[in-house]
Amino acid sequence: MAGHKIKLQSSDGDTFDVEVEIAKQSATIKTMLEDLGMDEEEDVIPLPNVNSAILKKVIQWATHHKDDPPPPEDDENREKNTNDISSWDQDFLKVDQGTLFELILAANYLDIKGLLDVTCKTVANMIKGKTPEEIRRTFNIKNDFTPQEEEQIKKENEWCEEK
Amino acid sequence: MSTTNKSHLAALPIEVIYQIFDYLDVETILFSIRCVSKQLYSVATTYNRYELDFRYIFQSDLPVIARIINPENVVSITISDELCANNQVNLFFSHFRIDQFIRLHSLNLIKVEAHDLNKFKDHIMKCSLRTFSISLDRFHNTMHMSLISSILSHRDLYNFEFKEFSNVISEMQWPNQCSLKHVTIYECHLETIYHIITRLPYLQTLAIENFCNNSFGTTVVIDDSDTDLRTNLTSLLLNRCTNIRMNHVEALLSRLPALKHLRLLVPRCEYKNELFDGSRWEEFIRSKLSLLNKFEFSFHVSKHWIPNDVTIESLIAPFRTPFWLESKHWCIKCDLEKQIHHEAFHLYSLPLFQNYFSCPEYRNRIRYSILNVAENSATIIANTSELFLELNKTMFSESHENVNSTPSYFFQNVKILSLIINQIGSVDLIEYISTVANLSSLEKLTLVLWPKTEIISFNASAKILFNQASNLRSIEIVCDFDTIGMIFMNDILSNLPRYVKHLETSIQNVEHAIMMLERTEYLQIAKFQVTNANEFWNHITQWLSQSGRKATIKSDSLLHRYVGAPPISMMYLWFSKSMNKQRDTSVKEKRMKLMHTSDCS
Repeated sequence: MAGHKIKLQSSDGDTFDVEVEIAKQSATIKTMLEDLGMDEEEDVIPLPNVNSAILKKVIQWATHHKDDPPPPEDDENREKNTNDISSWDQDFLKVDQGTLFELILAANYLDIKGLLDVTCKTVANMIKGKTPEEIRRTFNIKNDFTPQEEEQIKKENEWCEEK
Repeated sequence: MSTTNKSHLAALPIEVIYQIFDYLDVETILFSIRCVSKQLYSVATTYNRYELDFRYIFQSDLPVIARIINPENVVSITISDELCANNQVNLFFSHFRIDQFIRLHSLNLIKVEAHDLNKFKDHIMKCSLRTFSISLDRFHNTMHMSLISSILSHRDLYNFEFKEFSNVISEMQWPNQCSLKHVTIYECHLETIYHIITRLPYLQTLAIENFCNNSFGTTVVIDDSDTDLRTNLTSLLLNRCTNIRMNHVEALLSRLPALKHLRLLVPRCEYKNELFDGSRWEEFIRSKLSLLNKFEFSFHVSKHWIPNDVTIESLIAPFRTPFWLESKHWCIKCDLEKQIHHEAFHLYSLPLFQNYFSCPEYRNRIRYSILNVAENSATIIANTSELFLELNKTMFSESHENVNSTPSYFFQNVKILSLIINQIGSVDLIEYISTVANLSSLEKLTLVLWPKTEIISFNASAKILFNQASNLRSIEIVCDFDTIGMIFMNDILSNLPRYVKHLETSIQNVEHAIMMLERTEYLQIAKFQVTNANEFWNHITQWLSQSGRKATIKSDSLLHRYVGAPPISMMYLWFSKSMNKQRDTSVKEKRMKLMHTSDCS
């Protein structure tokens, strides 16, 4: 029903009124609404894995994309290597790394395919062209290889056409 | 972020890390991410959606990749035997066994010969291939077509792309059992399209890049019965039509009642073809295409061939009925353009679909413009794969402020971009490039510094450009290699991302070419257009042996530009991984034993 709203509750207790059609971009919420028959405006859907700040961003994204065609069901048919990110999404995702990864986790939990795609593409773009050490620095990852393991990887990566 | 915090990336669920890997090339996953930590090493080992695109993989990495990746984890292979790709089919078969790729879903073969295609065919028929793409060498033969026909009988195959710029597709014997749902063909004639649609009962999407009626005035032999073609076709995308008339279009479309999405781009049509008639389109869509919900069109016609009483107002008026505005919500625009010797009308739907766009030259041609809805100053979204953009102050200021009625454009999905720097201040405008074009899909960038254009630095501009072009693979530099040209080149190369694998330029001074190569250790292919091939060859081979860089060189003669002009040659260099790059991919920057011989064939 156009304009019909539901309430979404974040992990820190804030509630947000959201149009059902916008909220249904989340397959998780869509399933809840269908399975639990929650169609009253007073019904509140708890989202214990998403805090208020991130939920606000997710609603902002879903509102902007509410008229997008649904993503193809068939994973094989999507263009995996096409990294186009719309200008609006590029601006939307100019956030600190913590927020970006929280958005990824929220998109994954709420099962919002479009948001998960575009956030993953953004992280992929942060990785492209970087050496292992640069990736460690960018994402604060500890090098936990033992010297023996490093030696093994070095050997695996060696090229020598005469071998 | 504090260095004591746990990594956000490492904390992601494995299926999400897999999804990030989906947007990375195999080289980045294997030689960068896999070497970061134990966890990512493990994820890279179990990741099972590898896509091997051999156009962008170092020849020297093939044995390493063959050793590291389990073929069962590969879902897609792209191999090219184009002139510049150094016989990849043979290389592939020397390192891999095709029968081990048991989960192969997609195979893209570019310019392969028939006997090579035959090597793939037997395996294709056994694995669950879903997408098959092929472009033929111009010397294709009947064996090619016969092999392709056999492959298309594969019951799992539902995507097929055929890249050949002639009507070769008419020679195809479509198999009786064909499961294809999505077909893209580079060229197809009007007569052939009926045949394709009738032979593919499960076809949902048919895209044709060049669609033409090749009968030139003679009666077109088409199946013109009134019965619906037995088809489920819902999308028909005709991206460049020539010699097409409205009655041809109606005859075809009236037999496709399930059509929901139609694209019809006609860059040059005659007014008598009647494609411009909005009333006729409305009546036709109402009666024959009741399910159509997306109609993308673009028709160009010279005013010279049009009766004097036709104006852009009279052309747009039929598109202002409730059918167009309220029922379909289709926004239509008509421009009057000033061409060199005449004026022309351009009638099109929004967003605009136009494969090639030259800016601001195109926009400056527009004399008058009108919409079927209330006039507004909204920027026109243009789906353009190839964009030629002069960095011109007027163009950028108008795109921001829209100071007059001339439309401003935003180009999305640009794959090939030529940026022309020809004014003082052009360089500064690159800061605003994101207001004009989305570069996230960009694959090839040509940077042109016009002779005698003053620039102080290109450093900041190069950073901005490369920051936005995360999919860039190929760069071409066009400039005079004078003092300013050298600043331009140096600033580009200093910022060139490692994922840019191909470099192309026209150059005379071999020392300059060597300087370029010394700055680009991650390069896979360099292409130099030269007029002094012998001298060039000698100096480059000498440099290779001295520098330790390993490369294969090939030279091709091109045509003389004019009588008496020096012959032009294209020199290709295919590099193996450089020493420095090899060290970078190792876990620690330890010195490694590497080969120093230059292999110059």
